[in-house]
Amino acid sequence: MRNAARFTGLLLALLLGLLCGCGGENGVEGSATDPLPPDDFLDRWKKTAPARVYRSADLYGHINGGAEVFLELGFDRLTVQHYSSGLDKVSVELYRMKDAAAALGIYLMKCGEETPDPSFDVRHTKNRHQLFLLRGSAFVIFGNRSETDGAAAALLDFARETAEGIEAIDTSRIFDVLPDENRLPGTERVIRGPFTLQRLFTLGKGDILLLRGTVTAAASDYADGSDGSFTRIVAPYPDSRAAREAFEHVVANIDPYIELLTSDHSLLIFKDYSGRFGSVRIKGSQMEVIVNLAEKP
Amino acid sequence: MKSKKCSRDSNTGLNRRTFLKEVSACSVVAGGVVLGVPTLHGQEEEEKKKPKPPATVETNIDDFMKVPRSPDAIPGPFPGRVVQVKDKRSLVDDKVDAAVVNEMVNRGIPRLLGRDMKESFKLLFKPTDVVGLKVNPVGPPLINTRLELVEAVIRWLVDNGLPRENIVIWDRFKDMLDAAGYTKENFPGVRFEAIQIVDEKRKKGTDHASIENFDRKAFYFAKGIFGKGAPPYHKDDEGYLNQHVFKDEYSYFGKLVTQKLTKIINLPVFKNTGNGISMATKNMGYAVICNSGRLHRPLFFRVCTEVLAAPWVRDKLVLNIIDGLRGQYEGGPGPNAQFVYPNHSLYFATDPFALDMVCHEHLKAKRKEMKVKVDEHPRYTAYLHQAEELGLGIADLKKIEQIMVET
Repeated sequence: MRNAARFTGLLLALLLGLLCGCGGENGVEGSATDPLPPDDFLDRWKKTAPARVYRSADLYGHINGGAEVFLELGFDRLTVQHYSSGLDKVSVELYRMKDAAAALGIYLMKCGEETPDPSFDVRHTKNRHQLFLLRGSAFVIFGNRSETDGAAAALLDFARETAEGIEAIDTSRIFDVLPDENRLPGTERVIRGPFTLQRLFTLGKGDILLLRGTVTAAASDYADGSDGSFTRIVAPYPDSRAAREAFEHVVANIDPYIELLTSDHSLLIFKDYSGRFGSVRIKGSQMEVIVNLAEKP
Repeated sequence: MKSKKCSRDSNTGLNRRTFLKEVSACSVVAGGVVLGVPTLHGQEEEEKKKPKPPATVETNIDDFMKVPRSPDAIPGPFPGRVVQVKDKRSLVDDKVDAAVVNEMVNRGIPRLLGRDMKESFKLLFKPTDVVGLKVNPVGPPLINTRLELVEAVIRWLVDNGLPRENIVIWDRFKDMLDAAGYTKENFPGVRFEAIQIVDEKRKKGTDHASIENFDRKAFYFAKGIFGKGAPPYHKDDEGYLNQHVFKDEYSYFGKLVTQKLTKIINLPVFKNTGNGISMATKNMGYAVICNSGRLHRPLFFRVCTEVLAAPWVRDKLVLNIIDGLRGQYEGGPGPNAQFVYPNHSLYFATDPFALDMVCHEHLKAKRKEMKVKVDEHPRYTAYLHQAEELGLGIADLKKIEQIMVET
């Protein structure tokens, strides 16, 4: 009896070991740890093949030129699973990011104007073709692969089921570094390096703000009082020394197409390649970059 | 059928390039309407005078350029000519009309090449050619190369004497081709080939299963850019190898391109990648070689020019047709429905660089129209100007002839 129990325990340990090993260092096979809807979900959705897992830079194999921003913000792994039910086909792409700020950053870059379903209170946006879900450190894309009404209607079911298995994390403080006055809702962005910065502005080559993937800068557009807008980026460094180092790095490496108009120990004012104006300023441990101004500040 | 040159417009500078609009016989529009994008040529002149950032990575582009060009080499017989065929019947209620797409192909090719479909075939192909159709299967069904376009191109080739078995639909990965519907069931008699697989079963320390697919004598070299040891791969060499076949400074060309195909037709889609575009040159540049993941960060768009300069691509790529039935102006290169719109257009060119320059401008205009942030830094088109300097195509909008054919 004791031997049987020991054997069962050994077998369980072995099975557990195998499960944990899935999608390991070399692997792209399915992962047992991601909360994907099960086979036969809602008694009709069958998994069409094992899940595929992409780790780290393997992501290039899935989205090629789109991988940089994921990697820069902090990417852990992607699990892709396809389902079908008759002619209806749905794909689930579950991106596990390093932290909630990274997931928020990707979601904000992808979501555009959010059009959520009012019956589902986890942050998401949906249309007939796709549903983007943000929860904790996960960003999930549900795709209507068959362009059918049945698959379109199922996206919300898949999202509800998946969200159940992901822990929620509060990210509401990330944009606290930005002033509220005249801020335009829906324009917030998370920046952690050159690729996320260049989606807004090209200030210089490489990691010009020395964010190094660890400093989380916040950005948003602001109304300029005359029907236009400008963009403010605030990078909170660990201390004033790091902020000073970053400022000096900007001064030394600013883009050759940018014309410097004013420069002193804590402020740059410039004209950019589109004829718009901007500034870079340090205040204690923060650096504030303002771009796309219609007039010289 | 009417054809008309646009009059000078001092506000837009449109006079600085030849800009034609054709109106098909069934159109109620009388012609003379300018579609396309006003460009700031004065600003471009200024940009050209400004210093260009140095190229920091040494590649073997000079070796490519030393090889004498074949008569078929890009930019082909019509450098700088781009034809846009627009037909609103092509995509109605999110459904593509195959018959209309076929009509659009039958209008676009003759307008580009200046002869009927039969003579156009003779200009570019022989019946003994093996013709590769490079599709873009990423992001189906939203923003991949539509099967209806591929079918129309195959019909043209076969109707003019090319055996179906001499046609190869290809891309990097077989599973992506399958998922997008490029299958024997949909295209009977045509061949399918992927440059490589993702080698999920590869054991640590062993060769990738696709190693024999690559021509070790044909490579794109990027000094100091290794698969191994370069961020973000430094912790992940084995995972890298599953997808990238080799791990060194060399990206080898697929034997499909160097040894099997004699001509290539490029069939990309109309979409962005960040502030740039992922259309003709990117669809080709990142798909004919292995180990491309390592090149994104340090070189990105340069690859689109330099890989196309390689003789195995340069001398075979005879036609480019961008599937712009739908367009995606933001969120690319992955599919993002929020930013996908009906564009009802196919774009034709023998010159992939002129084609990308025109489409870059069109997409930029769409981004502005939709209030999406546009970073107009010259870096996002510098690779196209590099191609012009190398004689591979035309990037200067003043020299590009844009022709609109609209129903």
